[in-house]
Amino acid sequence: MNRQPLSHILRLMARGFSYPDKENTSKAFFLAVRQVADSLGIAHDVSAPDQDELKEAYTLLFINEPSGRWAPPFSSVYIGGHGLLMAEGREQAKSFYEEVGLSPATSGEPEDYLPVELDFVAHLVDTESKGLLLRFLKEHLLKWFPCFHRRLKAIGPHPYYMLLADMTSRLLNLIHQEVIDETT
Amino acid sequence: MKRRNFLKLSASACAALAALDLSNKGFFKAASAKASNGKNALPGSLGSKDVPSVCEMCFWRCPIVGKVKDGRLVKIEGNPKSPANGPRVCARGNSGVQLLYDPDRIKYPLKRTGQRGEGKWARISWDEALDEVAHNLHKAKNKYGPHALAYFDHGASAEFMRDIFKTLGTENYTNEPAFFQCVGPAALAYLKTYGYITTGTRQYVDMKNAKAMLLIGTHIGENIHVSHVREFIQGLNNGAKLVVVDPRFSVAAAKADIHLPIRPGTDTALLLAWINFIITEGLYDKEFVERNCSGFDELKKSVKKYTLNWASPICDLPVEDMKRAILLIAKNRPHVSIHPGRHSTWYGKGDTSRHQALAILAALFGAVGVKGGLYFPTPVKKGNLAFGCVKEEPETPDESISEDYYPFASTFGSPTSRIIEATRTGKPYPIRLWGINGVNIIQTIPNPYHTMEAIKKLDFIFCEEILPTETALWSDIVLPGATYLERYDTVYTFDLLTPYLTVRQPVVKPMFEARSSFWIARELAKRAGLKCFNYNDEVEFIEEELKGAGLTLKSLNEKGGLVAYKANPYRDPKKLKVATEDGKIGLAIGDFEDEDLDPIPRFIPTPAPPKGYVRLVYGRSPVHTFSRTMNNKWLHNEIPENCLWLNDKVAQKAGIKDGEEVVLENQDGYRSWPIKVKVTAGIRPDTAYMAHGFGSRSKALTKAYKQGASDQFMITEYEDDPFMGASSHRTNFIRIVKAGQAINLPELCPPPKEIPRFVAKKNRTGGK
Amino acid sequence: MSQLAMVIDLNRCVGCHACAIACRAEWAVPVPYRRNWVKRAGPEKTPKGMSFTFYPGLCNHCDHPMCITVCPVDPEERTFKSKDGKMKKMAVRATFKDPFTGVVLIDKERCIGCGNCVEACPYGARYLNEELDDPKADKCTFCVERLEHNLEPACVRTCISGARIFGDLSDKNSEVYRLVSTKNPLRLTSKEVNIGPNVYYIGKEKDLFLVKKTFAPHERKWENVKAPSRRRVIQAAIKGLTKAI
Repeated sequence: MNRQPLSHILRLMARGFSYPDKENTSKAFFLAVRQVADSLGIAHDVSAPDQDELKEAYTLLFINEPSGRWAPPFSSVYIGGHGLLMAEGREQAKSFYEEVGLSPATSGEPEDYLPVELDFVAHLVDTESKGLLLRFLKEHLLKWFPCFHRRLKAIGPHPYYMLLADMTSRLLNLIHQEVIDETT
Repeated sequence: MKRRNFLKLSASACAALAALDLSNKGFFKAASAKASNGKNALPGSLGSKDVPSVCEMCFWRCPIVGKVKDGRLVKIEGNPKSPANGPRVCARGNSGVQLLYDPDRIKYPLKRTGQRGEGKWARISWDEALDEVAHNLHKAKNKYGPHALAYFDHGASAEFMRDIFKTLGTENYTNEPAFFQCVGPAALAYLKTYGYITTGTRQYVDMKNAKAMLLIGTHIGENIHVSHVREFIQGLNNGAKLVVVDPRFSVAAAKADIHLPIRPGTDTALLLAWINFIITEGLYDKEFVERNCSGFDELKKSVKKYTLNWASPICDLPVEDMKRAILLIAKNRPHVSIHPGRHSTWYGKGDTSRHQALAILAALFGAVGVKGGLYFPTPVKKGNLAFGCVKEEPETPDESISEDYYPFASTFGSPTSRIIEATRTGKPYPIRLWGINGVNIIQTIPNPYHTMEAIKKLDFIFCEEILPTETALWSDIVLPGATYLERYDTVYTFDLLTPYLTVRQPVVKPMFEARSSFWIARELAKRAGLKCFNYNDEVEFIEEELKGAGLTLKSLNEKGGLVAYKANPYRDPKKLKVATEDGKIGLAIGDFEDEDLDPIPRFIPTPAPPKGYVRLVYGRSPVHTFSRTMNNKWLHNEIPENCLWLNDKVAQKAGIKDGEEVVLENQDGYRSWPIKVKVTAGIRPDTAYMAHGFGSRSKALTKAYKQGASDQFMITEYEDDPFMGASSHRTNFIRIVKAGQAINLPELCPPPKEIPRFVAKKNRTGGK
Repeated sequence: MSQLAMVIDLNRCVGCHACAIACRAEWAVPVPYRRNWVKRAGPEKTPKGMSFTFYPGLCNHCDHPMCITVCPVDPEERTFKSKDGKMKKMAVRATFKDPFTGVVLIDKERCIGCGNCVEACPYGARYLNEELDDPKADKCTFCVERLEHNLEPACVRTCISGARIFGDLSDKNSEVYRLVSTKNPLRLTSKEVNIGPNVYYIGKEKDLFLVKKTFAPHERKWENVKAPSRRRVIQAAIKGLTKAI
C-alpha cells in the first residue's frame, strides 16, 4: 500500500465530517466509506443515508443541539478546560500548521475544526513528516479526539457519523502506532 | 512511511477511493508569513494589538478596546480615551470574549426541521435562508395586508432590519420590548413634562455633583451601567446624602442615609404626599416654579388631599421617616438628583403618573439644568444618513392596535401586548409573520404562555440571533448575527456629562457564517425587491457620518477611536426654555387632558396580594443583562442562578429555611422551576424578590438551562398603561410549593382599606 | 523593604464582579478556579444597623505567609532584584515572599503540584490547576508581570467605581499608606488566624462588622497540612527529571 490511499482515507474522513453536500453524500462517497470500513475491520450497517437526513443529523451533532447533546468538532472545546472556541486547542493546532508553513483556508471555522486537523494529518502523511506527525498526534489530536469520540458514543448519534468516528479513531491509532514503531 | 502493511486495503476499497477526487481540497494554503514564536510572547494581555470599539453586552454601550493576539481576542478593556469609563468595563464587558467564542452560538443560517419550539434544525445556505424570509414577507403581505407583519427589536443590530418592515408599510415595525416592557412610561412622562426624554436609554441626572439624591425603586449597583454607577459613587464619595425608597434593602439602600421600605405599588402616594408637603411648607423653589413652570395652581389644588398622614398607612411608612427624608432632600435643593428611574413598567395603571410625579418633584426643587439636578443633553454633531428606503404608502388599518388603544403609543411603535393579542385572536386584524432581532421575546414580555400560543398561530417567524435562545427555538429560520465584536454599526455618540463620538468596528473577523446586521438587512431588502440601503457596506456610511464631524475612519482611529467633547448640561434658570409647547416645565399636562387622561398624577392603588400570597418583584443581577448573558461561561460561573428573597419572619412562620430549594406558584397556578430561598430581614413581609433573566427554558443554552427560576414565567397577569400601552410586570403574586404541597404565606402587613385585594380568576389557567 | 498592598473601599464597591472577571480574562484562569472573587453578605442586621455588603477577595500576600512554610520543595538560592537595582540572595522553596515587594509568588518551574500550599491558605486564595497535564499551584500575583510594564493590576484597572487602591505600604506618600493609616481599616484576621494580610478593607462600621463576622478565617489550616510525603516529593522529582531528558 502506498501513502496515497492512506492520505486519501484521511481526506475521506475529513470530507465525511464536513457538512453534507452533493459530493460527500454521493453514492460513490458512501461506497468508499463502506469499503474502507470493511478494510479496517469495522462492522457497520449503514445504508446510503438521505442527504436531508444527514443535514439534520450533522446540524444537531456538530452545529447546535437544543438539548446540549452534541459534540463540537473543535479541539479547543476539549483541551485546556476552557470549553471555548478559539482557546488553547486552536493555538496548538495553529502552531503545528505554522511549523510547515501552512495556514487553513476555512470560511469562518476555527483552525482546529476536525476536518481541517484530519486534512493536516493527510498532509503530514503525504510529505512523510514523521516527527511532526508523531508530535501532532501525541500532543494534540489524540489528546482530544478520544474525548470527542466518547461524547459522540454517549449521545448515540446517527449511525453514519458513529461509523465515521469509529473509523477515524481506528485509523488515527493505527497511524500513531505505526509512526512510533518506525521512529523507535 | 515504509511499512504500509499496517493497513490492508481491499482492492475494492482502493477502487472506491480512486473514484473520488480526494486530492487536497483546499483546507490549507501556504501561510503568508511564519508567525512569531508564541513562546517569546508577553504574558496575559500584554503586547496585544488594541482595536477600539463599542461594547454591547448591555445597552449602555461603553467604549472599549479589544485586545487581539494572533487573530484571537484575548481581553476587553475600556477605551482609555473614553471620558465616561476610561479603561474600565464591568463584569459583562470583561466577558465579551466568552460570547464571541461560546461553542453554543448560532454558526450558520438554520432552518427548522421539527415542531416550533422543539429545536430541530438543519443548516442551510445564506441564499436559501434569505430567499425563504423574503418570500414569506411578500406572501404574508399579499394575503393579509402589510399590517400582518410585525417586528420585535432591540439594540443597534436591529435598526437596519427595522427599515425593511417600515418600507413594507406595516404599522408594527418598531415594537421594542425595551420600550413597552421597560422605559416607556417614564420616557413619556418626562417628554411631556420637560420636552425631552430625560430618561429612556439614558438618564440625564447629575448624581456626580449632587448634594442629595433620591432613588425610587432604582437599584443602581445591581443595575450596572458603568458611567452611571461611577457618577453615583462619585456623588456619594463627595458627601451627597442618599434617600432610597424600595421594598427591598438593595445595594443602593445599603449605601443610603435613609431607606424607606415602602409597600409596593404605593410610590405615587408617597410622591404626591411629598409634593403636597413641600408646597404647604413652602419648601419648594418659588422663584423657579413661578418663572419656569406652568400648571402650579392646578397642581397645588389637585394634591391638597394627599397628606403625609394619609400616605402613612398606605405606604406603610412612619410619617416621621417620610418627613425626615423629604426634608433632607429639600435642604439641599436645587442640587438634588431626583432620579427619573429607568425600568418603569410596574403596575400598568399609574406608571406614567408615578414618573410624572417624580418629574414634578424635581421641578419644584428647581433641580433642572443645575449642578446635581436633571440636565440637558449635549448633542454631538455627525453627518446624517439617508438609507433611501422608499416606504410604500401605508394604508392605515381600520383599527390601529397602537394609537386607537393608547393615545401616546404610536410615538414609539405598537405595544407588544397588543401585537401578541392580535396574533392570538386575529383581532382587530390578523398578524401572521414575526421578525425578531436582538431580543428574546419569550423571556421578556409578560405571559410567555400567550406569546408561545401566538407564535403557533403564525404563518412564519424568523429571527436574527447570536445564541440559541427560546426565541430561536420557536423560529422557522434563524439567521446568525455577528456579535458586536465582529461588526460595524453606525457612528455612536454619547450626549451625557462626558460627551464623545466613537464607532463600533470589528475587533476580529466574524466566526463561521455569522454576518453583520447591515449585511443581512441589505441582502434581505435586495431579495424582497425593496429599494433600501443606498450604501454598499458599513464603512461607506460610517465615512459619511464621520464627514459631518470633520473626521474619517482613519483619522478617528489615529485618535484612539474616540473623540471627546465639552459638555453643555446646565442652563441659567433665568433664561431656561424647555422644548414643550409653551417653553415651560409642565406641572399639569394638557396633552394628557385632551385624551381624557389625568393631567396631574393621582394615586391609583394597585391590588394587594391575595391571602396566602406575596407580591413578586424582580431586579437585576449585576453580572447579567436581561436573559442574554446567562449562558456566558464566566458570568454563569460568577452568578449561575437566582434566589428568592423572602422575609425572615414570613419564612420562619411558614417553615422555610435559608438555602432551601422550593418551587413558586403564581396566582394563576403556574409553577416555576426550583429556586433557592434567601431568608433575609432585607425585604418586606408582603414581597418576594428575584433577579430577572434566569431559569432559561432553552436546553440549547447548555449552561443557563433550568438554572434558577424565571420571573417572566410567573408573570401571567398584566395591565396596560393607559397612556402608552406598556404592560405591567409587578402585578403577580406567588406562594411557595414544597414537596408538591402549596404553602400559604402569612400576612404580616395587611393592606389598608384604600387598597383593594387582588381577586383571583375563577379558572386558573396554570398547568401542573 | 517594600510591601505592596491593596485597600478595598466598601463604600465604593457595588459588587459588580468586574475585578473577578478581568483577572480571569487577563490570566486565562480556567473555570471554576479563581484568583480573585466577590462574595456577598447580607442584608443582615448588625449592631450598627442593617448591612448588605461584599467581600472582594484575593491573595493577601501576608506578612507571615503560612503557605510558603508547607512547601516541600528543597530550598534553593535565588537572586531577587529591586526596582532600583538592589540585589538580594535568598534560599527559597517553590513558593516564597519577594523581599523587595512583599509579593508572595510561585516558581512554576519548581512547583511539584503537591497541593500543600493550597490546603494551607486560610483564605482559600490558592488553587491547584488540574487542567494542566502537570498540575501546578496558582494564585494572584498582584499582577507583577503587569507592574513590570508600569500597568496596574488587572482588577484595579477595571474597577468601575475606583474601589481598589493599590500601592506600596512602605511609601508614606502613597494613597494606600494614607488610607491604611487614617481610615482604621479592617484586616481579615481572627484570634486564631493572624498572619498579617496585606489586603485592607475600609467602609462603614456595619459593613466591616459583617464582612469580618462572615468571612474572617478561624481555622489554622496550615497546621492540618500533612507532613510533606516523601514519596510524593520523590515522585515529583523523578517526573521533573524525565521531563528534562
